[in-house]
Amino acid sequence: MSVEMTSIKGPQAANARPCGCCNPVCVPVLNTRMLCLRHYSEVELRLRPMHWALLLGTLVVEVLAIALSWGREPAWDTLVYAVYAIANVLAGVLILGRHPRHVIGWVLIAAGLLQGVVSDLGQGWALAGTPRGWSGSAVADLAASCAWALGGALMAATFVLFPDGRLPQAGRLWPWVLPLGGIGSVVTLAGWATGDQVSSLLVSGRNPLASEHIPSDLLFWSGLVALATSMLLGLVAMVLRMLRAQGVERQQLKWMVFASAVVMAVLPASAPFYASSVTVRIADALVTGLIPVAALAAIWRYRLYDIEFIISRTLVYVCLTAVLGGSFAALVVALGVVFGRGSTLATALATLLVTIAFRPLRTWLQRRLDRRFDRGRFDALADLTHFTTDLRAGRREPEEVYVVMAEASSRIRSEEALAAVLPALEEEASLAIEMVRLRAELREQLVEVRDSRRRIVEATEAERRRIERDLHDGTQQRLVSLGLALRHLQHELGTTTPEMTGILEAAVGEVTGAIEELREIARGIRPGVLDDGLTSALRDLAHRTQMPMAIAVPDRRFSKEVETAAYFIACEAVTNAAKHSGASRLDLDVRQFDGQLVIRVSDDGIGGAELRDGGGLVGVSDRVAAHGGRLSIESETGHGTTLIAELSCAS
Amino acid sequence: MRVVIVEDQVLLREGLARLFQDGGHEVVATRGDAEGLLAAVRHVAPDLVVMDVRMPPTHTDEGIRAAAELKEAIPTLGVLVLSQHVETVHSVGLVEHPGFGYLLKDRVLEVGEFLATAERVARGGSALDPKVISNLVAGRQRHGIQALSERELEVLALMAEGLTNAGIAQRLVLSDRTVESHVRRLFIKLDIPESASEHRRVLAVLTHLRGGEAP
Repeated sequence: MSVEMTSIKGPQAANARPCGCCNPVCVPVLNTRMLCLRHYSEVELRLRPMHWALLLGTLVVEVLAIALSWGREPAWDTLVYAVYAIANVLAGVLILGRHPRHVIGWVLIAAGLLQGVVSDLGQGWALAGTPRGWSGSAVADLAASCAWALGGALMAATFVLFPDGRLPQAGRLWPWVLPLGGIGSVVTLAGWATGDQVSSLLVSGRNPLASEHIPSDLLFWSGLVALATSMLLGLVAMVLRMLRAQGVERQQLKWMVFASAVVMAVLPASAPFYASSVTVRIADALVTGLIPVAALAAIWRYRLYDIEFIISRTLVYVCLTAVLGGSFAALVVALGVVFGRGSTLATALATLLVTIAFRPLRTWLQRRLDRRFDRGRFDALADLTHFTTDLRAGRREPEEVYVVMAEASSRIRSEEALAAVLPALEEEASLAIEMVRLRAELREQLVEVRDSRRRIVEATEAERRRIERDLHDGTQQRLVSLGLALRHLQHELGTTTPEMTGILEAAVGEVTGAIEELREIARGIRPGVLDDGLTSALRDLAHRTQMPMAIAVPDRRFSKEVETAAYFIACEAVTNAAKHSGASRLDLDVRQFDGQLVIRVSDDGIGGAELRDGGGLVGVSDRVAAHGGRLSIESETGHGTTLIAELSCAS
Repeated sequence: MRVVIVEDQVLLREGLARLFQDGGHEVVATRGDAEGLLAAVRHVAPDLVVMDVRMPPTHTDEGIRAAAELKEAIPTLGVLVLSQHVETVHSVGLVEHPGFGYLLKDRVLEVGEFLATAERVARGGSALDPKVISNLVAGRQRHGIQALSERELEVLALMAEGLTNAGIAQRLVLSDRTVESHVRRLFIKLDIPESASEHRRVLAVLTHLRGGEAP
């Protein structure tokens, strides 16, 4: 899995996912970290009547402004600035909804109202009212054209006060930013409002305040320098603050710095095309709108950590565009030399080459940037990627995922950054986590199967025991009684009827035979001698076996289950050997080692025994397995067979 | 001979009682379980108690435990335990006392032999079922037993039942001298010192078979 396939999800997104974290097999340390990070931004949103009033007021103002301006200026101009104003007020209101006294909220609302009431509504009034001679249309006209100067001060204030609404604590310079911006914007305004330059923007085309007696140019330029300085200082303050900040505050500032950087990059870059391209003007207005959006995101702490991702992707695509664009141009020129200028083939080839280069180049750039941008994150993900590769190759066990995950997350220094990376880490580890879960499930089921198998074996033993009891205590006793009755009859008849005596003698013989057979059957089902212990039962087995057999059994008792299992294992192994091995002698050796009862049955027969379906050894294997034991069979052809079964007999 | 029969199955109990009566013995009491047996035995003072192994309430080894209790209280009493199957551990443990016998239940059908054994036990002799003996012998194959011939094994089994040399000779239809020479060889092979006492012979054989030290 490559890095590009991973995505960063904010804490909220992780919350909604039916993820492996709910699974008990997840590493607890990661879970608790996640839990405490998830609820960072859970301050309830509560909009007060004033907030609603501000929001609705702005909407009404914009509706009026659009109605007044409609058809009197390009539609995009009307709409884009309406959106900008609403976005500012909305962002401000939403910030105040969570943090009622947050200065940034008020600054954004002020910027939005300035845009909405003064610039947009004022312009609308001027556009509609100037031809009709509405009162105040001249004032509105001028105000709408001058409001931007105050907007600059508000932006400077936003920069220097972000993110907590207070000035940076360190540095003597910063307290001067606000007055400088304020004075600068007022002076700029004064110069602008009394100068000639503004006339081109006015609907009336003539500035009523223009005066020869006022040094309007001097005022304008000195004010503008002060205003620009304060904005610049505000930006510097913000960047310095970001570099010094940690954790959440750093992330918040990153948002704002990113948005400002985009604005600062786009506006000057697009300036040459501003007059000629409508698209550029729309784009500029929308890009400027990034600032309130970034401020809202940062203060709300909504998906705060996505900024890393956004910055990294932005850089990737900026670089990609530059490199590919440059390459394309160079290729077109170079191929043009070969195939002739303006050749379609050259263009097509260049396009093809650039298209082919796109994906690998993007991956390469992405890796470079990820490494440069966030070393910890890159290494952590690389750890997991290696682990997953090893896992697929069978070099590592999925259960190690937690150790790897813990190691990977230890590469990331702060809890906040970890929270950002964790979803990606989890996704990378998801295969292993799923495997662990499945394996745990499998183990559980296996335990269940083993338990049920053991229960079945135990039930069978109990049943055998019952049948054996019934045969011995019921049928056999009746036969003995019958025999006794016959003997009594024989006694009563005495020697008077030798014929009858002979018949009775034969009948008693039959009964004796029946009892003998019954005893054999009962013993086959379950030897009653097993009640005396394993030693007695195995001696009994040795006695009944039709070949020489040496036995060694410890003279002590084990649990009923172990004794029964051991007896039947030995019994089946011995029977199997006697039947198939062609051996001349058998050895049965039972020992106790470290809580294990080891049953060893060996013969000097033909060997070659194996576990086959329906074979006698399968029964042995099943029985051993049912008791959670181990079975090994050594049976080289011509070298006899040795069967070793181990049963746990602890306690 | 005065006999007490302890057997939980009515038919069998009555059959056994008839068997002893037909053989000319007096059945002084019959009981269905071992509850309060000792008092009853003290009261009727029999020569022999014939007892089933599995009896109420648990049907496991009530008979064995009752037999041990009786022998401890009245050492001179003959106790003959009848079992449905071969139980070496209990039986051998008890047969080490004089006046004790352990037989498979169907031995009762060989009336003559059974009554003879019962009388021997009542007189203080021992009796251990041939099946038990052969079982023990099988278990000891790794020792000197392996060296015994089939005839010697037979003789050993009869010795363990408590028979004298003469008794063995009669049972196997051999001359006394032949039996004596078997016994001698057998003792040499098993490394058991010869002894005059019948009971000690049994004990010696059993102890050896069980792998313990000679008494």
